[in-house]
Amino acid sequence: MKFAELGGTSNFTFLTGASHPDELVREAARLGYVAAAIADVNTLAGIVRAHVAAKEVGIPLAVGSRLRLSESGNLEILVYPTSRDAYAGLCRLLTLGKRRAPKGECYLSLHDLIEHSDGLLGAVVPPSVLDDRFIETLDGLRGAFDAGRLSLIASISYGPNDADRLRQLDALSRHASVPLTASNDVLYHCPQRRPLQDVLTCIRHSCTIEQAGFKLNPNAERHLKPPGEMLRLFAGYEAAVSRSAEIAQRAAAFSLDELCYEYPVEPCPEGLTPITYLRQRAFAGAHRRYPVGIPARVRESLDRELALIEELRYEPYFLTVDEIVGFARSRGILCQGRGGAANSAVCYCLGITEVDPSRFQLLFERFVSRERGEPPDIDIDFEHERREEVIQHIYEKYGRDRAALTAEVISYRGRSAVRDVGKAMGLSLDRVDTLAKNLDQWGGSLCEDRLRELGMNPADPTLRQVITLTNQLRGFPRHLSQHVGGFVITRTPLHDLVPIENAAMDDRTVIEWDKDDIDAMGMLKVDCLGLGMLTCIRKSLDMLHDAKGLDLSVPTILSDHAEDPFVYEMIQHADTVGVFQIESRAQMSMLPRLRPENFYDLVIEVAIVRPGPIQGKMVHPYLKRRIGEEPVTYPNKDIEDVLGRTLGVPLFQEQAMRLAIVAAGFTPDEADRLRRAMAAWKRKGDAIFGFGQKLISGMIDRGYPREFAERCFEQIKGFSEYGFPESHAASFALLVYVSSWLKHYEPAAFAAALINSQPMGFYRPAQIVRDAQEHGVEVRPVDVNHSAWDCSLEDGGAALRLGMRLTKGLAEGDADRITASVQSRGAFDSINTLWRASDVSVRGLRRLAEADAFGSMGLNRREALWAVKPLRDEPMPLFERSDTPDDEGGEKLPIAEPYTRVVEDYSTTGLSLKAHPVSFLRADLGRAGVTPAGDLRSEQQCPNGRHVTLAGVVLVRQRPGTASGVVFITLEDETGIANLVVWPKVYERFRRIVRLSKGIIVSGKVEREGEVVHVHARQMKSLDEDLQGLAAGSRDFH
Amino acid sequence: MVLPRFTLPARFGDDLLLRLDKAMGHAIETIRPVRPLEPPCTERVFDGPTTQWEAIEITLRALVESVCDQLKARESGARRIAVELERSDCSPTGFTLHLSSASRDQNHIWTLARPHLERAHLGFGVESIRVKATHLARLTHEQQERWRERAQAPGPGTTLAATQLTDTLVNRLGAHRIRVYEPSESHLPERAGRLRAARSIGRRLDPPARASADRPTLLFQAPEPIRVMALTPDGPVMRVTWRGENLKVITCVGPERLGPEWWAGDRSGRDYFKARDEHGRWLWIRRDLISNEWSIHGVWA
Repeated sequence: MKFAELGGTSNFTFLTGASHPDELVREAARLGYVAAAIADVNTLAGIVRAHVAAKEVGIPLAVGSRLRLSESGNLEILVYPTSRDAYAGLCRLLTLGKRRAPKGECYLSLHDLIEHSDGLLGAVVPPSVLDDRFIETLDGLRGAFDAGRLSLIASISYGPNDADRLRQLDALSRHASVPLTASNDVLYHCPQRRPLQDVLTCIRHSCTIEQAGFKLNPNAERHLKPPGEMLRLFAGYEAAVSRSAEIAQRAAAFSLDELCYEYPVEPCPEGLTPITYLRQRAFAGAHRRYPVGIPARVRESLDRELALIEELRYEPYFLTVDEIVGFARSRGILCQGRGGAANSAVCYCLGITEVDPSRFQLLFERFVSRERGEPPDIDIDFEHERREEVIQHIYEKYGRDRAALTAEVISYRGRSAVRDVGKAMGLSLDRVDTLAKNLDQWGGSLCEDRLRELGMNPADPTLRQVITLTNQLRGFPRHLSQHVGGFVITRTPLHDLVPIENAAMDDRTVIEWDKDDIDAMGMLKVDCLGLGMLTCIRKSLDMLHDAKGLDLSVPTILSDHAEDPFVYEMIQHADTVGVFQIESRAQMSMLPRLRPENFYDLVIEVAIVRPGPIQGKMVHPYLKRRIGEEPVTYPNKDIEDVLGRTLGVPLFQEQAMRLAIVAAGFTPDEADRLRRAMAAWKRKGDAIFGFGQKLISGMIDRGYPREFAERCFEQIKGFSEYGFPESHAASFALLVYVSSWLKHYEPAAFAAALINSQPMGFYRPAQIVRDAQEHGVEVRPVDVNHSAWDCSLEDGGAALRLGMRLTKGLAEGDADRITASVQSRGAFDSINTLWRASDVSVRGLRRLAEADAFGSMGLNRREALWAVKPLRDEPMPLFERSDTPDDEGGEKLPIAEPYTRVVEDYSTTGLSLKAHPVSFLRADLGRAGVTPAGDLRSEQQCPNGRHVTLAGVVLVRQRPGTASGVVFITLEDETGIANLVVWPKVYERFRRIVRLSKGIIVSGKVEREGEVVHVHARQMKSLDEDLQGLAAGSRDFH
Repeated sequence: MVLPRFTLPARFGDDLLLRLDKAMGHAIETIRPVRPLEPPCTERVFDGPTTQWEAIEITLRALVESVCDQLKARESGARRIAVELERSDCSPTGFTLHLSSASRDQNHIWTLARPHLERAHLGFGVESIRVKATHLARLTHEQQERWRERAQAPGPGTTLAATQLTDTLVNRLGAHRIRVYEPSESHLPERAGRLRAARSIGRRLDPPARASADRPTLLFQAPEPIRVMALTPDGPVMRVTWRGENLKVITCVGPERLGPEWWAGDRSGRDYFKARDEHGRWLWIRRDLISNEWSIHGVWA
């Protein structure tokens, strides 16, 4: 009994199919089909996942698409390519339809289909009424598709009269000479998915399940059925059933494995092949990097790497990336490679990455591995504000038919799933909201206890249905979006490989596959990412050059100003607001304990405060050994080589790999597979245990004590997805050093550049300014006569002038007009003259007045608003009264309360230079026994164990996944900041306050560990009533 | 704080100064009253109390006509008409007509009013009659024919006749007694229609355009259990024992499978067969998918 289901719709036909592609494939294999098949509407998005699953279970796969034309009565036809060329034709057809339509749509005509029909097998899906138009269309198709390539789909849907329908289709099939093919028009792999499919229909039509009525399918029959059952249903038409099998087998003759991806070839100088050109460039770069002479170790690495690159034929890829980086540098855009690529000496010499192989032990296999069979992944960080230039360069150079962004599949997460399901099931909006908020990034589940807490009855059948359906819906794709910066570049046209469509942003085109699909297909991808700190660094350097004439660059800071002890001292005291990577609360708690003294310590610092090492319990052993509390021992010299620089504790992915190689006898490629098993462990679980056994037994064989071997494995497991590669940490550590150096020596420029590069980093402008002030920088307010759009330096770099960009609602154009006028005419002394001279919009003036930016004219906020009020943008000559005196304000207006002024500052610029909101409450707080946060710094006043009460505005709320439900809060008052620790029990009692309050009074116990001070909260109260009018401005993380 | 006058108009508009002056008494304030629109109402007072029915009838009819004219002038229709009869030496009596859609058709209103009038107690004599139209709604007129004007039908899919019939029934029997079957979208036959109160009749009365699922003319309230002889559970059915009779089945179409409305808590789906017996009747046979019970759910005429 041979059968295959040709009409399988997966969930990549968004909001229609109710099964994942791999579920359809697995079920097809289980039912004994001759082949699995996937055909989603006007797309090939899910086929790679189906392909991977089909290989895993060992069933052939027929790859196709269900074309829905935009004419001919919206005719639907399943098409399956039988060869590589036919597949390319299908991709081109879909690209054609999608490029001419807005995002997410596809316009195809019958003519388009016929033009691209070579090598395609077609199966026409007949409409419910077999009218003349359809018969005509069918005849037309029959003409274009020669004999044997066209079929007519017959489905038994358990409708009112299936027998009649089959007879009609049979008659039509004979009349048109198009044989019948049996299909069950499948929407899900098993009948239990029917409720979910109904819910998807409701979501698609934005109605509730009660209202959906006839939009829903009447029964649950549209699932994959066993061949025997299909034969029974199609009794009398058995030929149709076997024809499906035949078509599927013909289609499965083409496999995605045949897609051969070719990297673009960069132009090389005459007479050179790509590999020789690459070698030449690499060595030229090496000479540049090592002017005194290339170290022997580096030379060896270069030779080894180039040999492997040549063997695997990756040289065009390196040349491509080299060219992109070269372009960026030529435009003065700061960039730096990250991730695995930093393990390559070739990349370092080419200038793609910055990690020096002579100073670090690089593991090339982490980057390129023969066995992996996967191309390397080079990720490059560019200045985030100028990344678009690089992207457009890539499009220009390779053309839109050979370069496109990869897609990102936006899937249903807990929150979105429960929202859509809840609405479809008719739950009231507030109930849906409650459920959704409970599933937000702060974790939360919908277990019974939690439901009761929320005031819902867990036994309510509708609620149970909602929960079941939500769990099924999680992970379902909703739509395709463009990936942030992942580019695929090919030599042959891209649309022969995969359909290309328009992205939501203008000027962007996207392929239908995402990162995982690209990896599975062996295509090369370059990730062009944006990094805020690079923008910040470049802006600082430019500002210093302009204001002080300093000629600094990242390389010069790293070479001429390396290893400055004052910089490290600053870092050791956790004085790191604004510094790359080490400014978070968690990092600041670690810095005084770890006390970095040199560059490698920074590398460790970057890598250690992450979920991986924390979960693997490597942090404490490392710290203990560092302070000397624990002895540092190694079983032997080999281990010391690997773990020496981290005091015997594995902290990096490469160390785990090296351990496996050195101590357990893994080959480098096996070690790489171990690394990937580590990464996938959280999701898949099993592979790592196999490796674990091998590791432990390998180490025991080589004479290591079992306890040591097991401990190593435990530590390695903790890496999961979160352990950093050493090279990546090193790349980042370079930026940590540069930003620290700038912060220490040029705090004004650094703070200005930070603000000018927002949004980025951990802190808001208010904190950046506060921190700058604490370091002696004079900060001057936004002022029309002195400020530009960006923050700038005044008085030769001594003072920081805040820029007009901080003003909420102000357009950059307006700011520029003002600056231009001030530059050409000097300072203005009245709003009227400024207005007339600069042609700035009245709206802009109003915003500036709200931001109190007219101080240099002697006008406070209210006076400025009063002066701006009569101004109008459109000239109204009829209303111009020549008899009224030119009024300039000057009237006596009531003075605003100081608190009001501060609050208004916060709401217009996000900060206030006048005072901190909490300072107004200080008298009352003092009477209530509240300690100023600044006092926490003194061990005398707040020793370990003392009970204190603090009050402040909430800056940051954090609930890290690794901290088992503990919440961290940072409060700020006018004297400083305080870090709170809220344990789960306390959190449960004061949930609302912890999650939502703008300001908190808290009492608790002080815990000191050297310079690191935390307050463990016991009682909490909200301060919001007293801080009326203050806009909420905290950052909430998980 | 004293602000000079000239600074105000540019900032707050000219109106502000005028308002301030008016408030302080420096400017004259005029008030333009708004007259509320009275609902159309007519009254006729008799010279003396009368118990003559014909007189009252003619008068009421004239009053109705007058009110309808007023409605026409306002391009409105009424949904309630209140009739009050003042009686001598008695408290007033009256009745209210409810219309399911706005109307100013005097014949229709008279048809509704007449039975009420017939039942009214005239007491010692009626001194005056007042007719008032409340609950107005806009009702534009279309010229349907050259010399006769006809008001619009209340809504798409309904006819004037249906509306007026409903009104007559409602006003005679009471609104709570009249209900209308409204089609609702459900695959399950017993849920394909819902009873609604007859008040708002301006909606579709015809069934939604759905590709014909052939449904029996008579659907049984409760399916009648039968015994069946069939080749397989999927049919076709060969013989049926129903209401004590053993019938042979000549033709059998199906099965049509309807899944349960799972969101409403239904557990089981069912299969339906349309079968013709030896007497020529078409029966709708049902098989419950879980319990495997057979029954007849309806017949065709």
